[in-house]
Amino acid sequence: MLRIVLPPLSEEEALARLADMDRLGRRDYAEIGVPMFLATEDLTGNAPSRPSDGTLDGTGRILATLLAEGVEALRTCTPDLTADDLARLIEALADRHLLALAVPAFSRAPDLHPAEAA
Amino acid sequence: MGELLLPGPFDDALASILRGLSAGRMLRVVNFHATPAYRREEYRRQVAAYADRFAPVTPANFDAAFDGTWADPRPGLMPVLFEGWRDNVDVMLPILEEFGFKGWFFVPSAFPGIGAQDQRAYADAHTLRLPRRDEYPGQRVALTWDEAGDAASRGHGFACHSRSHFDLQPDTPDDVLREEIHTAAAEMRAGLGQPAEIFCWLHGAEAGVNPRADAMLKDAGFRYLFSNFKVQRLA
Repeated sequence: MLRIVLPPLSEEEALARLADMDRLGRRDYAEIGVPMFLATEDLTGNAPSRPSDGTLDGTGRILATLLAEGVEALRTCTPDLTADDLARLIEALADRHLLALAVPAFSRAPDLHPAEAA
Repeated sequence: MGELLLPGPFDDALASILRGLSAGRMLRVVNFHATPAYRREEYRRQVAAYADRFAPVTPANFDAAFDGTWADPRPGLMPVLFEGWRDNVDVMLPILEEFGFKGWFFVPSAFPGIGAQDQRAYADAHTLRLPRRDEYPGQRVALTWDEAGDAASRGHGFACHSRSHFDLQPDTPDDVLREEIHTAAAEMRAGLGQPAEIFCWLHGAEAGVNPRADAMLKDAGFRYLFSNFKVQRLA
C-alpha cells in the first residue's frame, strides 16, 4: 500500500486559513445562507457501499484531506480542539469548496463541448 | 458558539467524519435561518448559482441522496430553513421554486402554534433569533401550519427541530425528552397532515450524546437525525 505523508501547511497558509475562519465567524448567521458538508452515517447496520451522491471522483477524499490538515494546523495554536472548532473548520471548507467541487469535469461540461452534448 | 457537544473524544468524532467524507458519504446543505426581504436579491443570486451546479434533494429522493442510489449527474443540495420563520415562506420559498429547489423547513413544533402577539417573546426565550430589522411589526413572525401544509403539498420537506428549540444534554430527563420528541412528533403530524421523518436538536447534537434520546427518536418514528457534522440514519 502506498502511504503518503504530506508536509504540514506553511505557517503563512495556516494563518490565512485561521483568518478566514475568523472572518466567517463574524457574519450575521441569523440571516445568511451557510454552506456545510455533512457526513452521512447509517446506524441501522446497512452502511451503503457507494458514495452518497453516486460519484466516484474523489471529492470526498479531497475534503477529508483538507479537513485533516486544517485540524493539524489549528492544533498548533489551540491544542485542545472542541466541537466548535470542528464546526468552524468544516464551515470554512464548505465556504471555499462547495461550489468549486461541484463543477463537472472539463470534458463533461456541456456548455464547453456543445457538439458532444448534442 | 461554545454549546456544541460531541458524543465522545474529539479525535474519535473527527475520525468518524473523515471516514464518511473520504468515502464520499456526505450531503451538501446550505443552512438559512431568517430570510428577510431586504436580502431577497442576495438569496436569489445564491440560489441561481446553486441551480447551475446542483440538483435538488427532495423528500422524494432523500433516501437516494443518502444511500448511494442518487441518479442525477449533479450532486444534490438541500437548502435548510431553520426555525419556521414566516419570511422563509414569504421570501425564500418563491426563490427556491423559481430555480426548482425544494426547501427543507426545520421547525420547532410549538412555534407555529404560539399566538402572534407572543411569538417575539417566545422567540427571545427560546434562542430563536429574529433578523435585525422586524419586517412584520405587530404581526406574526412564524409560519402557520396552513402555510406549512401547503408547502409540503408542493413537495417541500419538513423536519422536526424539537418542540421548543431544545438544547439536548446528556442528562436531559426522560419527561423532557418525551415532550421534545413525542409531543413534537405529534404536533408535526397534526400540523402537516403527515409525519416528519427527520429530527434535529438545537445546537445539533448527534446520536450518542444522549442514548435515551436516540432510542426515543426511533420510538417516535424518526428515521434520520441531522446534527452539526452528520446526517445519521436511525431506522
